[in-house]
Amino acid sequence: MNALLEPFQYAFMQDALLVGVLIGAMCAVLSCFLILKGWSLMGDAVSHAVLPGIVLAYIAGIPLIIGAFAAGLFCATGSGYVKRHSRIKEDTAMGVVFTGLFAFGLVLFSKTPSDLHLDHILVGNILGISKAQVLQTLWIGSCVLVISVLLRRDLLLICFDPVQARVMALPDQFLTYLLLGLLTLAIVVAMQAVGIILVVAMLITPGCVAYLWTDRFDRMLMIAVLSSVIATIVGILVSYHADLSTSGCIVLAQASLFVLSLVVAPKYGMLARRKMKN
Amino acid sequence: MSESLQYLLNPLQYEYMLRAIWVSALVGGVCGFLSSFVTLKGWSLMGDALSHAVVPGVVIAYLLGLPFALGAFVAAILATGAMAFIRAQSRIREDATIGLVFTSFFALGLVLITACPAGLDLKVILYGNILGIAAGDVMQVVVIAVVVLCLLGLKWKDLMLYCFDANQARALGIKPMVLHMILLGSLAAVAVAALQAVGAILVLAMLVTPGATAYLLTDRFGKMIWISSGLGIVTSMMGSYASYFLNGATGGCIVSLQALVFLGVFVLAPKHGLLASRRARLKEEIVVKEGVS
Repeated sequence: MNALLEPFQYAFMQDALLVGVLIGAMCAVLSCFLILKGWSLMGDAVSHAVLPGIVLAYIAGIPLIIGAFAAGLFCATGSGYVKRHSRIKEDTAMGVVFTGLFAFGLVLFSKTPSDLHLDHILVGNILGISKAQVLQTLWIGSCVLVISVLLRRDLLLICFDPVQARVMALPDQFLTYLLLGLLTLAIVVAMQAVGIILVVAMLITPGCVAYLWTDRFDRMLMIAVLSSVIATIVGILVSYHADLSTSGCIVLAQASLFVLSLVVAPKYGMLARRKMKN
Repeated sequence: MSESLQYLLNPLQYEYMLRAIWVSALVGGVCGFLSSFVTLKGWSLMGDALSHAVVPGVVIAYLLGLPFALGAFVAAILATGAMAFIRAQSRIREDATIGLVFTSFFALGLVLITACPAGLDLKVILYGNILGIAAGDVMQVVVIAVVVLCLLGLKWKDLMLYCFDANQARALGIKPMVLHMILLGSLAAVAVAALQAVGAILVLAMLVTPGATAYLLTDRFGKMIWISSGLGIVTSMMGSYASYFLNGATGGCIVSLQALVFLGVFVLAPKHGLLASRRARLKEEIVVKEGVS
């Protein structure tokens, strides 16, 4: 047991654990909204689209996080614009816009001499995260977490039933954009730890796990957070001991939890359903 | 004058540049062809998913010394199987299922790469490496392209009907299941070929953007296929040529070019463009006002 937990006496592992757990919890809460709203592709799109924002911010000398946030929002609103003003379907519009932005980011990156590591942006580098990044992650992550938990009832309603939300005189447009903004912020923060490509997993899998366990939203939130946090800790430990990609291990741990839930979850698991059929 | 011409012709004297240009033109053409179907069917997320899900297959094939296309294809089939299984066994929405499965597969690929550090370079998978493509890989791309083109060329009418209206296709005695498999199989195969040219992340663009652009230019499916294939070929050739001057970000160049063409068409297309539809709306308003007065 001691050998297993030994890595946590190192400062960099403590930082990784702290950041990982916070990011895991934040993404898990958002994932519950996303999978109910059907926004999985949105997470994918926004996470890729931040790249040109990061490079442009680097060139302009402003904080990278601002550029990333702007580019993410630009992608979401841009694909909405294309969809509204042409006969192209929403998923196609999103695909065209985010790949275009990512490609532009790549070209820009290859022409910009910088000390940015593209690998770190793409697959994350949680074990090498700097003190400044830890602080930034902590306060932004906590903000996103607190806002989305406090407003969970309203956000849930616009996910399930936007018409009802409007009938109840909720500011539905504002809430949709708020959710989009929270999503983009979460992606920008989580990206530093797990990378662009696997942020998507953090934003989908915990919600799916929780959705198999319960029908009540508050419980779903708690289960999602719990499963995400467990997966993050296990993933970091495994990656340390076996010297494997950290973000890869975290996501695989989440996937294992999902497979487990798919089989044994009460009521919606395979075993339970089989029993019910008999 | 002649000096700048010399500068522009410079890349063409290298054999590797010429090879990159014709191979990416081939890939671009096949992807463009397929993108018409992907756009119609609304399979963007599927294209993205398959292009990421093939990664562990590529790594394992590399470790075993097999052709990477084989490994990728098996991984793609396993991924679609897993998606179908989860769909059947749970109440989770389709888009979430697809996202869950492809990210898990990609994570597995990532872990496998770090587990055998002497092996594959992650960069090659993420961004492609058409400028340094090996002769054996060129062969695989050519075989994939020929097979997929023949298959789609023979079946394009049935596939078109299936994409537009699966029920109608069934009523006419066409087996939708077979067509579904053909389309998925082509998508997986082409994703592997495109991985070489532009890398895993930008495969989606090759599979969506030409089709979406063509969709804004014409109402006839036959024409749409020609336009999207042509766009795929031209943008890929020009993109790989331009990448000579841009430190070799071939995928980025090709896809940026495709996005620019899309943007131009989105604004200027004769019937379905932004300006055209604005003009049409204005005309309508005038007619309505005249009718009222």
